[in-house]
Amino acid sequence: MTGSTPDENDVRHALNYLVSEEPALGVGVDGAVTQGRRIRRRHRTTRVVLPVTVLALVAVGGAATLALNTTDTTTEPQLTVAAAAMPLTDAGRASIRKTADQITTENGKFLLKAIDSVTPDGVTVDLKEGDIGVPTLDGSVEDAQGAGRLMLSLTNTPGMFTVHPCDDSEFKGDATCTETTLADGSHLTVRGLSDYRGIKTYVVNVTRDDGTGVSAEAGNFTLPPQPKAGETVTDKAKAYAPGGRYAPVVTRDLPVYDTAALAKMVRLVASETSDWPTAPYKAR
Amino acid sequence: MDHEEFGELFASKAAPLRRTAYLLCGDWHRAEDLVQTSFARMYAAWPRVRDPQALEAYLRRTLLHAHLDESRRRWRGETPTAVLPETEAPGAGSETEDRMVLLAALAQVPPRQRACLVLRYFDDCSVEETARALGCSEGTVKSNTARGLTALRAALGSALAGSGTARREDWT
Repeated sequence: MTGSTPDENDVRHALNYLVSEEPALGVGVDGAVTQGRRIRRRHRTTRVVLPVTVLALVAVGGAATLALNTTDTTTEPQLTVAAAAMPLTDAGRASIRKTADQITTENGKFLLKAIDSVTPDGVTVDLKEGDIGVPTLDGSVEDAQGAGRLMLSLTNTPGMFTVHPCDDSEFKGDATCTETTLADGSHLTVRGLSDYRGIKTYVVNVTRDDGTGVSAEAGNFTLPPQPKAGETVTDKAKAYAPGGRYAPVVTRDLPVYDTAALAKMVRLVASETSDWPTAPYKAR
Repeated sequence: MDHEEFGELFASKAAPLRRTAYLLCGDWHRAEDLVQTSFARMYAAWPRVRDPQALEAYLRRTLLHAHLDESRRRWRGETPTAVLPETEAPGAGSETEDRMVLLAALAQVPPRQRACLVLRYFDDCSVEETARALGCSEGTVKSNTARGLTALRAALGSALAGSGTARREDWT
């Protein structure tokens, strides 16, 4: 080793050194089997019957349809977003303005602009800036059918997003998952409706090969206030189980936004931020 | 593949997998959670397992995905806390300090780059195996590994400047 610049062998030594003293193993095969059986039951009970090739999903609050031609992966998907049947009020605009007042970062402003562009009048928005490893706008949106969750994240730090999430069986679950390569080489991933014990979500991502990108998730639930950083949660299993203190609360049948709206959202952000220089990772 | 074979797999692979998980996340408790999650997913897929040779790669891939997804799914379960190395009583020795410096430096490396370093230099995976585990191209693995080394150098450099410890001869 020369000074403070480790070569490959130094890294090998360092990694082995770090695990050279380890505590006794605290997990057993029984715990894994119990959890594994739970996963099996979940897969059996939440099987999504939508055919993989058809992504015509109609949301309760709107009437937006996404038609994806997946036979040619270099062809951009054709998006058709029909006008949503929402009551027209000033409340939606006012809530966007209120949310905008709370947003201080450049990332947050881009995210809100995209949300604004696909959100019909009458939908109220209550979003806050956060950081779950990547900058995020997170909160609830509400239309005539009730409140739902929306999370939109953007990162220009390489390596933060899984480039091909459809390859991840846990991400995909039993939902449909389609990846389309866009004209600029980035990847549009549309994961259809996932239903876990009534908690339903859509996820749409645009990812680039370096692991930067944009991700949107819409859900049919709201979240109670979560524990603050550093706060200890006793009995986590109970606290996050359905009905628990921090568990999501199902508030409507389907998410407020469907995959078409989410796709439009993430593509808007991705196209407006595609020329941003990449940023180094900052440990939190 | 029966239940007994699953038990044997757990007995032989849980400890090494936990070491990999620890190097990815820097916390032994979280590492155990990740190991349990990986084996649980493996158990769920057990009836469909046809190729025993692929088990280790499957476990590694599941572990990586569970770890990389964790930061984006904070609301689903874990309490967010700052990543701090565990501390020992004063006077516990320079080894503890060395480990803290190394862990702090590793924590500065972005997750996927850190995963490349751990897979390539701890698990001795080839570029191809690493690419399969991470679900990316071999070119991405090479560039992430190079970036990870650069990030580690930078982080270790500033840490060393502050502590004067973590010499390589202490790591062996």
